[in-house]
Amino acid sequence: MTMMTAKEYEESLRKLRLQVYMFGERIENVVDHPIIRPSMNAVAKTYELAHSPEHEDLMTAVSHITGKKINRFTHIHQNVGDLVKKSKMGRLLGRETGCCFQRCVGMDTLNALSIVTYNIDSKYGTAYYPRFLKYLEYIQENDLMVDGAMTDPKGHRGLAPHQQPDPDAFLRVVEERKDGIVVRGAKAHQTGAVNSHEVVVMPTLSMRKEDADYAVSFALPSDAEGITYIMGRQSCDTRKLEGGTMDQGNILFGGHEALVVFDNVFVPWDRVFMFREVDFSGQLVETFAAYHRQSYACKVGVGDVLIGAAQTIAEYNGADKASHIRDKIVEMNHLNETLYCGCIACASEGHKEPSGTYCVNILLANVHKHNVTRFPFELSRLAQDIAGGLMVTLPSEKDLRSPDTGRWIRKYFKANPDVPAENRMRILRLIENLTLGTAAVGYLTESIHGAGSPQAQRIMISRRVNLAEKQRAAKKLCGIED
Amino acid sequence: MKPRVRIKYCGGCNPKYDRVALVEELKARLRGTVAWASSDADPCDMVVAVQGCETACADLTAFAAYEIYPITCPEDLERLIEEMRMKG
Ligand SMILES: Cc1cc2nc3c(=O)[nH]c(=O)nc-3n(C[C@H](O)[C@H](O)[C@H](O)COP(=O)(O)OP(=O)(O)OC[C@H]3O[C@@H](n4cnc5c(N)ncnc54)[C@H](O)[C@@H]3O)c2cc1C
Repeated sequence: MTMMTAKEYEESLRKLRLQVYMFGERIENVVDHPIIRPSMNAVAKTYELAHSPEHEDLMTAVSHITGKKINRFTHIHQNVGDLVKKSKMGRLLGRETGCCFQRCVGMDTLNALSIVTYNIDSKYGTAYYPRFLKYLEYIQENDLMVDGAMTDPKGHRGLAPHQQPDPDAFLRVVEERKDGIVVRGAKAHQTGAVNSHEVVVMPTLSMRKEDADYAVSFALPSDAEGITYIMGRQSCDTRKLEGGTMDQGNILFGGHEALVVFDNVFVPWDRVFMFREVDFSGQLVETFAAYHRQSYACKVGVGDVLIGAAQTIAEYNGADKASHIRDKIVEMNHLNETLYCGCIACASEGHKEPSGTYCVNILLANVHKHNVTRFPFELSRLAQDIAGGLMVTLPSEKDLRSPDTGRWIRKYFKANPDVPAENRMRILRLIENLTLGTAAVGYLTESIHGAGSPQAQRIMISRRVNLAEKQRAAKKLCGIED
Repeated sequence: MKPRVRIKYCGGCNPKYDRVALVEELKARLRGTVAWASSDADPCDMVVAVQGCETACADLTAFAAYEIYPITCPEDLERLIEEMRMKG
């Protein structure tokens, strides 16, 4: 198969037997559920664009293990060019979908494992790397969507995994067998979980000796026995149940997150990539986090949409010629392109790891993600400023369609005489969606916490920066000799 | 024989113009002058590299043996059509 079409991807999901719950009920038909389907559409876009001549240059790559053309989301970066294309692909898909398209986390997991499994083997003589390559080939050949599952519920933040009152607060090995291991625990906030064919689990933090049972990484089919998905809510999610074509803002795409529970799940050995090698758990976390912090390139694409929407509403309101509005649009572009600089820089300054995989510049990836924890908020503030208060006081689409109220809405919500009130309402709903609604989960809160909260980046920045060299430069210029 | 032309796009991360609309216009205006190669496997005489911006990052390594005509902005279209008509 090698590269699925969007249709084939959708059909492949229908074959999965996932245990999914939402609003306290089991969902039998996950693919067609109106709250989940827009998120499936967003992932499907990663399949669709790989077949489109005007995007394949970014969306596809040549596998270093089979030599076949594959979807870039299953690729292991072979050079700096691959890393740069990854950043550009993120912007492209962010702009095409206006939301989180969910597939980067799996790509980042595979790339991190391609580095760390090799390093574990080099130290301990284990055989994780060949095992991983076999798994990777399976993913590439079948063009599978992978949920990269790192974040544990974590219980009391001040306690190590083995100190937790509930030992399952971090996912752990509860049994070792001849044919594999049994694991128990959960992963929280899992992006695109029920749109995934596979779930690859990694430890959530650097483990110590006492936490050896928690230093585990493995892959499972997403419908493996014992896995349950509990869908997270998103602000304004039930608007998708209303059956309209406007109030959800983004009428095509969305994202989702879920709590994924592993209730004594069996993992065969050929799918285990780390088993109690505590000293490599931190390396896996840091490597994955570096790649994933680069992945926030997607927010630049979503920013493109927000800027386009802000300019459009300014024109619809008849305020686009005002100098402060023009300046605010310039400021939005400045912030957005500054974010772009970060994701391109960390890719361009990438390096080769012993396994042959190219990794981003870790310092710059952290700086990039740290900017992402801030700039989308300022971009949103500016968009809301330009949009006006109607963005949050607008009546519903049903009121627009109603014979009783529609004429008032069309009369009083028309601004620029060349623009129908309905178009003005649509663009306002999109801005609402991006800055307050379902897409704000990805554009704002995920920008803070996804791939690690801001403090995690500050710690990495302090660790990676060459402070002594900066001091040496300063002292030299003013004649200090230590 | 009409020259066979292959279109190769960049990935389109942040194009400055509508690349697909430009190619449609190109095809319409060169109708009858050139033939279009539709895939990598299809032999061609020349390649039009449709780049969304001046970074021009489309991977052209597979086309090293061919004459390549780059487009990085809509203004390049007229020059390209002129040259193609002369070839055709
Ligand atoms: C929309 C969204 C999508 C996500 N997608 C994924 C995904 O696909 N896969 C995945 O694995 N994860 C995913 N995540 C999880 C993300 O990585 C975590 O949210 C992040 O690591 C923060 O963890 P937390 O949410 O538990 O917050 P917490 O860890 O509770 O952090 C809250 C605050 O407490 C601080 N804090 C926490 N612990 C300590 C401590 N010990 N000492 C000092 N300060 C502390 C933090 O710095 C932060 O300021 C996603 C998150 C979001 C919001």
